[in-house]
Amino acid sequence: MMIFRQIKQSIISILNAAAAGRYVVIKSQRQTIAANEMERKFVKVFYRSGNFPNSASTPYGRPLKHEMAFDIELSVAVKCSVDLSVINSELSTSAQRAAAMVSFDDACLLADDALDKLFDDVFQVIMNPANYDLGFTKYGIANRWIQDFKKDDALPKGEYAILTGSFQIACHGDEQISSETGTSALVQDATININGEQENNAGVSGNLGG
Amino acid sequence: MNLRKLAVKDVKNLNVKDWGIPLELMGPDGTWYRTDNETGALLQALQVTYDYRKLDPQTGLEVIVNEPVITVSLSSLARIPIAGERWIVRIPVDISHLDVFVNFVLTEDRAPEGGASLGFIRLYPQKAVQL
Repeated sequence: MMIFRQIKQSIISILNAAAAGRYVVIKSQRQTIAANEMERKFVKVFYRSGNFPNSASTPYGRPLKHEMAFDIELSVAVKCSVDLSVINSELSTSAQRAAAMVSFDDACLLADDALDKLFDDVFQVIMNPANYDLGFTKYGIANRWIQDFKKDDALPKGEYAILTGSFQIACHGDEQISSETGTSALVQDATININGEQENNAGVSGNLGG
Repeated sequence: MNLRKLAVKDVKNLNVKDWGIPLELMGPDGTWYRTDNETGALLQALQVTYDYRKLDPQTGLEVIVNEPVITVSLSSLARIPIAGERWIVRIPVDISHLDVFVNFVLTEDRAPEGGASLGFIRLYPQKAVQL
């Protein structure tokens, strides 16, 4: 298995182990997602791109350098936060209800905070010194780094305020070339007879000297 | 009667008759509006639609989200919501239980759209939870 596949699994394992109910890790790009699911806060992990610099690799027998990037997409869906006990109470006065309206928190504001908090949580997990090697043996991978965090625009999406953002985890690794696929090499299976060889020094067994 | 006025009247009457959904509104000053300002009957929306799919152009992710769109005749409203105001909107979300109202809110996040030519307004409420 190429090392980028192992690293992806490792990132998912690290994030899962540290989630503690703060978010849910999704292991692939889903086709659709329901907004009410997103209330649990989603962290989606997938391999985005890889580069194999020619100058840093040799084609024969040695590992190929792989500069890889994993996309981590963050999604939150948030409702408005209102003092409904006042709103729903038939005994409340209009002044009390008006005060409740002034003090409520907008969903977009809450979504913005929620996404910041989610990035904070995930950043702390990935950049924790204990995860320097992303679960691999020391120096198994190199230059683990977080880059390109970007928060998307809050678009109107119905009864929830939905906000997404993304960043990349970049690192280097060595890809081993296996010979598990391809055509088997031809094997010569023949008796070698060397005329005149008496001492059996030719290093082959069989009927020497003909 | 002016043809435009007739059209506005028809839009209200025909839609309330065929599509009307009970509606309660609370303005920013805490006042409840539960009756039609024109007829004195219980306030009704012309139309409430929910189901929606939204493709997020930034992530490519298709999000399945309910988007309640409430269309109300302007003549039904004693006070008309304007952009930047906060309102509470109560509507039944289950068509088989029209007497069970659910709280939604209108916020600055999304402005209402007016249909001045035919005398209606579209409201885009969001879900609310206890603070």
